[in-house]
Amino acid sequence: MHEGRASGAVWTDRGGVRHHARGDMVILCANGIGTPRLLLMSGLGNRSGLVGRRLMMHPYAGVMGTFDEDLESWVGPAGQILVSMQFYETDVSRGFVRGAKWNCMPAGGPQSFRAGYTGGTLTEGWGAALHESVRRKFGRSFEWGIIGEDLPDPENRIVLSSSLTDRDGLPAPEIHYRMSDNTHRTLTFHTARAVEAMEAAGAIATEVTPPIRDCGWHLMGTAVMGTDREASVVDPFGHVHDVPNLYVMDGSVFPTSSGMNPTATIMAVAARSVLNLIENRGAVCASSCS
Amino acid sequence: MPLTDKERKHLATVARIMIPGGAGMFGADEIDIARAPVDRVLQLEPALETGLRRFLARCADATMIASLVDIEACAKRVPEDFRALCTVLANAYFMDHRIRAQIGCPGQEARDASEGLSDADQRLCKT
Repeated sequence: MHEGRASGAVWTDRGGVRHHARGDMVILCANGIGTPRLLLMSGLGNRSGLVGRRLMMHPYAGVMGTFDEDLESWVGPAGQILVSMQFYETDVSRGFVRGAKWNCMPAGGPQSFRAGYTGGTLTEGWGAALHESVRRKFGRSFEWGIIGEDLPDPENRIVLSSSLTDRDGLPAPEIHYRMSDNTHRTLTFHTARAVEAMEAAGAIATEVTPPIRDCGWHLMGTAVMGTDREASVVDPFGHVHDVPNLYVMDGSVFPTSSGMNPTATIMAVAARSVLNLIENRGAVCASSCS
Repeated sequence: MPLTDKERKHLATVARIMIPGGAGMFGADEIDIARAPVDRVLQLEPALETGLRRFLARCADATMIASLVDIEACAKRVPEDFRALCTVLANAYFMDHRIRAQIGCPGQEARDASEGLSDADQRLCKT
């Protein structure tokens, strides 16, 4: 920082030598963990006390259905071929708010039946059962993956560790996260509907993957966007309140998580923020930019 | 570093139990899984080597392993290393061209995405 403005970034190379990269504009894009870590270490943008808070991930469950017919479900990419938002909107009679997206996932190659996250005992997947299991499932199954909308909770947060450091001696990020009751109820409801959908489609067997612990593949909300400086970290264009030339352009700025994979939205919001930055660069720079 | 003869022997013992032959399928022994097939996997994903070697060192004494129950007991002691073993064995086995032929999986191939679609859907594919 210099005279209330960000002056650039300090970074350490593999040899442990510190460098200072100077910049008139500083844009943080270090994701929902890295960005709050850098802000907290730098002591910036935390007037609201919300830097690192409201961490949202995407709690995940799944239902695999096995069918008699050959679906060739190993063909093609393993992404989301179809999505359904059938039960996404809030219906309070279900006992929770918001909802979940279902994504239709191919079951993948034969390896996936042995290395997946469904678990089971060894005798179910290997040994004499191996070939029967592959014959029954390979190409004949697909999964409804269920991504629940995680609600923002200030207690789910990133803080700087008081005991753990990285190899350069900088505080490691510490993750405090508890899956909410709303999320548990959401995924329970959606899992039951997905089982019904599989059975209605003719599945001869279903396997439920309950909410998995390692769901932190989408990291959002830890530098929340808003218009109120006391209740947000960045403005609607990613501009960090109180630091005229510092921006955040990643999933940290999400006020809510939605149930969608966030990359396209991150890119769209970042593009919008960059266009705004370019348009207003003169005002931001005042007389100090080179 | 390539697996040692001792490690390969232990691995073959475990693989024989986890992937027996039968039901029209080769077993691990018949494709000599502990040699070229496993080397291929480790070449493609060297990160699996540490866990695999640790499992073999701690759990695969050929005199102690006689059944899936024995392997499962080991797996519970070192679950992460067991996961590496499973990933190595599954990929070594199913990447073998003889096994792929047996299960009818030629691998990914270019296909005409419009095949079998309605006229309306075919028009959508062209737009």
